[in-house]
Amino acid sequence: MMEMHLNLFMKPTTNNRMITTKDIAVIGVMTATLEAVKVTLSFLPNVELVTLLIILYTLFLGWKAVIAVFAFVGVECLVWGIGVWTIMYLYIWPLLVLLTLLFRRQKSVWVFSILSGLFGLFFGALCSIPYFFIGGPYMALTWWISGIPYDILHCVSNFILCMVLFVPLREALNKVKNVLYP
Amino acid sequence: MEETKRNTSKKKIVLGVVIVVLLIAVFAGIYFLFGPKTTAGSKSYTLEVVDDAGNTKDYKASTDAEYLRDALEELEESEDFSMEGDEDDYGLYIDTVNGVTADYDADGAYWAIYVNGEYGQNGVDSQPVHDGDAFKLVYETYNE
Repeated sequence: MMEMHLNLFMKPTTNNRMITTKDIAVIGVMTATLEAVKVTLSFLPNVELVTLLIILYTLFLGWKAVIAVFAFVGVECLVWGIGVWTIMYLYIWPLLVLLTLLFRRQKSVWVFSILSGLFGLFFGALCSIPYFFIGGPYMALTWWISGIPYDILHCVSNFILCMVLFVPLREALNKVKNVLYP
Repeated sequence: MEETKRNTSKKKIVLGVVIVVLLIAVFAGIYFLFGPKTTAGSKSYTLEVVDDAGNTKDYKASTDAEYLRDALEELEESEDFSMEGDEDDYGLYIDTVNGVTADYDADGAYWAIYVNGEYGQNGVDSQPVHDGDAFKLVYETYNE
């Protein structure tokens, strides 16, 4: 049963190219949950569940998860206003969708925990890219280096959260999938 | 066959974890080598403590603190200096410096603050610190 669930999870939900009404509803819920976990854990610097959820949603919905990601960035802008971080979010989270798609056939929680940890570790480096254009390479480099302790925290917390929550959440999403996309 | 496949993927996972740990170490190394260093304070000041027996002790320090209290609390960390007191509406009322307690209720004794030779107009919480300031904490007794 478990194996069947896993296999089901790796397969595209429906027609992989077309976005169905069901997909739109699912994407709406995904966006809402992304924002909810973001706000709930925002008091802890760099401890977040957005990475884990985007990985799971990409495994669940394939490339269409990127729509939820952009919608999430849109909601974030409504909550916090527009800033340099908006540009960062517009390429960082879609990059995670892309990376997850590359590993979508993997089943081991370890693979996704490593991906999640590395993503956290490089988060600051990825965020520093706009500063390369704003203030040059020195500014980008110093900005990245000064945030390294937070990147390490991000890496460790992403890894642990994925190790703990990936399997139960994947199970829960499989149940949803069995109902929504029989 | 299945066993070999499982072992290979296990090896890959171990390798992945090792890479993560190594990268954390490299990142930490970069931070310690090139990260922001705590710099010595940009404002230098002197403090002279005159106790009840007239003995003086001089300190020279630098700080980025805006107010004297923060500067003196830094001094407690770095030098053989200590102060204690009670918090009231105006901030800290110093009653003990370097272990010497001034008890106003008993004999009218108090710790006076001098700023650049003038009797201080502020408590330690609201006394600003400027570059080159000379502070004095003097044990004095009020006699009517």
